[in-house]
Amino acid sequence: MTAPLLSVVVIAYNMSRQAMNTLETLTPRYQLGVSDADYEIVVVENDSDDMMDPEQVRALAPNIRYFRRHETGISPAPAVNRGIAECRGEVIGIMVDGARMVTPGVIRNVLDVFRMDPDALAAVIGLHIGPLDHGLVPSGYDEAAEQELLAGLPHEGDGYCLFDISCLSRANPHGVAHPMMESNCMFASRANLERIGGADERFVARGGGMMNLDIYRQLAELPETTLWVFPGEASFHQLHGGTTTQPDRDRALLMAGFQAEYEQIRGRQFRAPTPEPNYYGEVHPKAMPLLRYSAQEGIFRFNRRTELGEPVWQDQVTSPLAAPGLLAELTDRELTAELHERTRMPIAPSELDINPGQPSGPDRAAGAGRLRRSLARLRRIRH
Amino acid sequence: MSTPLLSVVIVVHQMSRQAANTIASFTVPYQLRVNPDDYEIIVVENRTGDMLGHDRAVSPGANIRYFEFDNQTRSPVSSVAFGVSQTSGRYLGLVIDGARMVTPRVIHYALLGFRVTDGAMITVPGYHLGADEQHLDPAHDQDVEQQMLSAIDWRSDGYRLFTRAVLFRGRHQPGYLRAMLESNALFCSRSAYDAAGGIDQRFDLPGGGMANLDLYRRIGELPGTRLFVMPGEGTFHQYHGGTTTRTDPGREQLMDRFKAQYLELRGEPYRSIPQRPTLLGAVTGWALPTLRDSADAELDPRTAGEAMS
Repeated sequence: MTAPLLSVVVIAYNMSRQAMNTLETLTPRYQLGVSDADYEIVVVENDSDDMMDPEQVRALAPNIRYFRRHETGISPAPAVNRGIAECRGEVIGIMVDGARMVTPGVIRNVLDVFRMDPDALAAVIGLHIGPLDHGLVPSGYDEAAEQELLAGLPHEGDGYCLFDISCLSRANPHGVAHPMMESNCMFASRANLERIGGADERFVARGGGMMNLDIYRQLAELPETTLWVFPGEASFHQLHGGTTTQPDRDRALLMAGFQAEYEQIRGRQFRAPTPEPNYYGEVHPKAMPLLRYSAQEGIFRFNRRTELGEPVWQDQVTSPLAAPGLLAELTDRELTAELHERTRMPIAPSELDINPGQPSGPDRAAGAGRLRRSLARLRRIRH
Repeated sequence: MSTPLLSVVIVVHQMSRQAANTIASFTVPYQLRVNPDDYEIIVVENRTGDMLGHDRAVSPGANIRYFEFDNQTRSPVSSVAFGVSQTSGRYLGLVIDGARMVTPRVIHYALLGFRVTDGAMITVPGYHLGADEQHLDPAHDQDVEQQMLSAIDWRSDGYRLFTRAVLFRGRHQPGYLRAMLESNALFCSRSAYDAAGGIDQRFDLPGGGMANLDLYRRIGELPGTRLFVMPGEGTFHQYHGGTTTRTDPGREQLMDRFKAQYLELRGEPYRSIPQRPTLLGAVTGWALPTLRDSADAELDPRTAGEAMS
């Protein structure tokens, strides 16, 4: 069997249901325009109380390979490196959180991008399923509510409808025309991943702390790297007992600890890298609101940076300063501010029609239906 | 010199000033991230009273070849066919109206697109310089335009052209997030061009009538064609009193003749191709408003379901 061009590493820990959903979205049956010979899925699952059944995993598709490992630490960094070591492709995808379902064009886009650009860094934006960032979920929205939301969707055959029930996260709140902090579904050449040393196992904090952000930043800052983003695709985070997505009053403290670890390892503060994003791929109608919002947010940022005389991108090709007189015409603050209000994501909690003491059992389905209707209504308002 | 991968054919007809800008916009160093050995520019200039001439045409780059062409018709189709016959590249870029300047990464992204598939048909959204589409803007003329172009110093940053232009929408083209009606810089493989039968010489009306649209559609309908669009690049039409871009009471009548000729030759009214385009390339801040507006048009129920005709 010849090696596929692309290997996608998926790390799972204590999330059998979510990870099975994720793997299903990565299969050739679900992904458009690709076959199992084009890529392989390398699943690395750390031991936990909630493991997947390896036979069920392998039954999903012929191009899935499953590795179970025993992990004593609380960071996925060694699992990521184990996954990379198992990859046979020249291009490697890293999904550090197995709870992220993806849209059906991701694999095809990645294969196309690396045909164009072997030094690409391809990054898929992460959204959160449900009304709000999973660090801020309102009461009444939990894993069971999410399951019903997912069950109510015809996402078999139309993975893009996940856009209908999802929102931007705090990690990348401005969409795809802004610098991203990280990507939970990113792709680079094996050579470039080796150059940065893979996942740095000195990140030992829970969930790896800022390990994934570190990988993204290091790849983005390689001089040969061009960033490619897919405005029509996304990964969708499912609720699970994950590290930074629990409602947690101590979240700020946790983040401060992560940052301290990052600074200790790298000797500098974390900042999102700012390579100019190159867009690639089709844009499904369901992804259009995100693209529209992203463009608007990008206009804000561009105007702000240009007014300050700051470069918009670290590798930009355009002149940093506008020719005299141009800016005033492009910047119509009142108009853009109004558009901003109309398109703001994520949805504010006060606007949601969720019963705080949502009952369990059959009533949940009604709750999920109500949530779906609320989201649909909000989207109509936003447009 | 080795054979270039891409041959860009630019047809020039009585527009020396505009064509000089257009040719310069296709050359390095204005074009970024591209090696001039990878492409050639074939300039075909029809004999008229306002000639650019060989020396001025080839001065911007060593990869330009110039041909003076005796075209007795008012249609550029024979000039296009002649230009294509002079090319050696595996891929073609067709600019049927030499008044269309381009932004700095058109060649770069076209070459990338062909790495994805030989079946790529790569298109560039068309803009009109000025405050409105030129046929709707009687105040726009050559003098206004020249002042505007020098004010923005477009040669040092071609993306500034977006600040002085509007996306051409016509009546049936709300944006570029669906297949456009045509592309005024159209890239395809030579084999796709030949398989589609090349440009149809029967389009003999002024400006070629719907020859460019027809070619776009026929290539688009070939099995294996994949449609690409560069959301952050553009062609920019300079005013030259051309066939369909002047303010002229006869314009509507002429458009009707174009449609009638298309109907006669093809047996059905023109419509675009039913493919969703693949976006390709970065979008500078200057071009983001058009991206937003194109997304808006897809979200607006009044235009989202509009028939593409």
